Amino acid sequence: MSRRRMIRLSASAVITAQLLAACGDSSEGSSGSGGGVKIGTPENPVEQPLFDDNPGIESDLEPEDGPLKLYNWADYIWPRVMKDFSEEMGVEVELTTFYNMEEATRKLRTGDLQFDVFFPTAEVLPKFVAGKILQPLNHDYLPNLSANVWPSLQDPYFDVGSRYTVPYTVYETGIGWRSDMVDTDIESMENPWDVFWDPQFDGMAGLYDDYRETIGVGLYRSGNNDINTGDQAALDQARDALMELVDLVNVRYTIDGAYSGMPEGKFGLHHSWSGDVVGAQYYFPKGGDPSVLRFLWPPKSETSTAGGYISNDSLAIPNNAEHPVLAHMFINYLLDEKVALKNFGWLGYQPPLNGIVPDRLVEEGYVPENVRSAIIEQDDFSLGQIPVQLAPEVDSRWLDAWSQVQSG
Amino acid sequence: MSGTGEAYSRRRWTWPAFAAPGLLWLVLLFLVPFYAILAVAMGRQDPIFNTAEPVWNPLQWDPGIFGEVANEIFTGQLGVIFLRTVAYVGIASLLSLVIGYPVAYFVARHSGKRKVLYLILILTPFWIPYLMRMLAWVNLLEADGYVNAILGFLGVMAEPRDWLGGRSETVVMGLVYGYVPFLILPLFAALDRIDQSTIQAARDLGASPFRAFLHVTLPLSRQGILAGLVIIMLPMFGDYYTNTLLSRSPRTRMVGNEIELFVNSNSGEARGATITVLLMGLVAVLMAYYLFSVARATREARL
Repeated sequence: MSRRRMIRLSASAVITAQLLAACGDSSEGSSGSGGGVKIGTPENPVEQPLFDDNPGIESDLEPEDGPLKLYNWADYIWPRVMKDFSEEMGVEVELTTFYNMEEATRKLRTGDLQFDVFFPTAEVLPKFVAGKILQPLNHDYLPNLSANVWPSLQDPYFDVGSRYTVPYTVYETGIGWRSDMVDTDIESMENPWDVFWDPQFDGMAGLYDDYRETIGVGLYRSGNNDINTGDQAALDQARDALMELVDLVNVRYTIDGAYSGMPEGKFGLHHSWSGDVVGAQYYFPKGGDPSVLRFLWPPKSETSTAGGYISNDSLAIPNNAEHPVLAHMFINYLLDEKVALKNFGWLGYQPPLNGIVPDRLVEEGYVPENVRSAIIEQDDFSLGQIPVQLAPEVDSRWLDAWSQVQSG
Repeated sequence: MSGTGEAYSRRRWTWPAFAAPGLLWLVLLFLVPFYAILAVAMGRQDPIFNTAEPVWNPLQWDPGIFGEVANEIFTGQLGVIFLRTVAYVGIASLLSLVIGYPVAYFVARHSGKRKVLYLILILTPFWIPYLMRMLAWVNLLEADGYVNAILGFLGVMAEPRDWLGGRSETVVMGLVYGYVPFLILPLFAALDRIDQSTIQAARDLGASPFRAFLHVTLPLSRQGILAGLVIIMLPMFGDYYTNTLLSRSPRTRMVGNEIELFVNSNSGEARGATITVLLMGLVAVLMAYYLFSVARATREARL
């Protein structure tokens, strides 16, 4: 259990880092910059282009014999779900994993690898479409999309009309802490992110080792909620704020600090993905009390205007898939409520389906009451900030700032 | 020197041919990858994917990024990281030598029939993967781990210490622990080769054991010391995982961490490649000294 999560998270750290595609100015993005890449932003949603030489499949085709080949993060789907599908359809299901989005990008670009279902992040989608690595989806095979998926995510800003992707999971990035080690009332702080700058937490505060997420904390600290900014002055300010943390609280940058460091007592306070906090209950040592865990996603605080990241991971079909009909059926299968709920129980990252509501998740024991705040609701997408793909020169600025933060 | 007979000419090619596998190895696994790193460092970005595109033709290389990175080394944070890395590697290498030399000396000179047993014992930790050994240290060094418990019990420290809280000494200790056996083996080989009669001669001529060591054994093991140091310093310069596992703090960041960050990023691959090339340049200076010293020793031995 711990291994899977660790792998998944170390991967997702890197991912999250890179996926976001934010462009410095959204005008450039929506009008399409280099190479016909159309980058949507929440203010400027885009429809991804269709190409004549990349038509997608016809309706009413019979599923192929398989095997169905998946290309996914390590440990980002419950093996049982694959097995059930395999038995139901009478086909083999093969899983190949990648470590981060860069690796997946490099390998898929060669065109030599053939997969039927791929699990991209929202931010890489524009370039994958422009590079014709993905094929358009045929919604006739995906009745569960319109029946079950949150309406807002059927029309996501990066892929209006779900032409190339459907959502797989959603996540938020907030603050996790242990009530037995931290007695500050974080929920009613004017800016909850300030808690990391409180010297009383010397030696027990951690942030993610992820430039895209953590420079964002620096921006929030300096009162800036534009987490896709390319403005050098804003980035300098965020960088300087983060650099203070070294002397103030001897901050450490980790990938596993939230889901395993906090349960073990190494951290009292950690930058946290919602899925990490849900999974952390399994990482308490024997005799530990998981009910001390708390989570706040600052946009939901009543006393604060501070922001927080929110986004989703996706499902898509590569354009050279050998079994595209089967791939559509598998995607539809994952959007089934029962299947998705089962998968969530293992994964900890929440599927954005209408029937999976907070009360149900708590009542049925998927999420402990004390971290109920880590459950994501559809409206949250209008409260938080969605990281988008950064233009190359902006991405370099972010990386530079991060490398300076890291070198203390 | 020019060959005359057919037999001579054949012989002239036979022996160098033995170098071919090694040469092929060097070309395929060092020169080609190194050229690829250069091609990425001086290459361009793919307009759609933002990934680094290597440029293979040196005439089209864009050396601009070298200027930027060099500038950061001399004026910016990167310089601090390079200095820190050099300091860590230097201290860790010296410590390894202080720990490793007596061990190698003992095994080579005083272990008698148990020589093989001791060598096996030195290598035993390598039956366990590096990652596992470092994770074991993480457990030992935790606030309520055995290291603090023992130090507290012995009264060395009243308060438990947060060894994993971003401390230079922990990272240096990790480096020493990880690499010291690689130093011991070449040192052992060098010490084992020393002709006992040279030392006996020194003693016969009235040198005390210490003076015999200082003027005979130590100079004769010099090449072993250098070889061992080179073998451990090269991987230490690129090490990032020791740091990741034992510290994770900006206070102890090394060049390897910086390379890892950029190489795993979207738009920073060229920068990662550039830092790699510059690090290799630094290491090449050390290697040059080593090769020069070996060449000189060989020359002196011939005289």
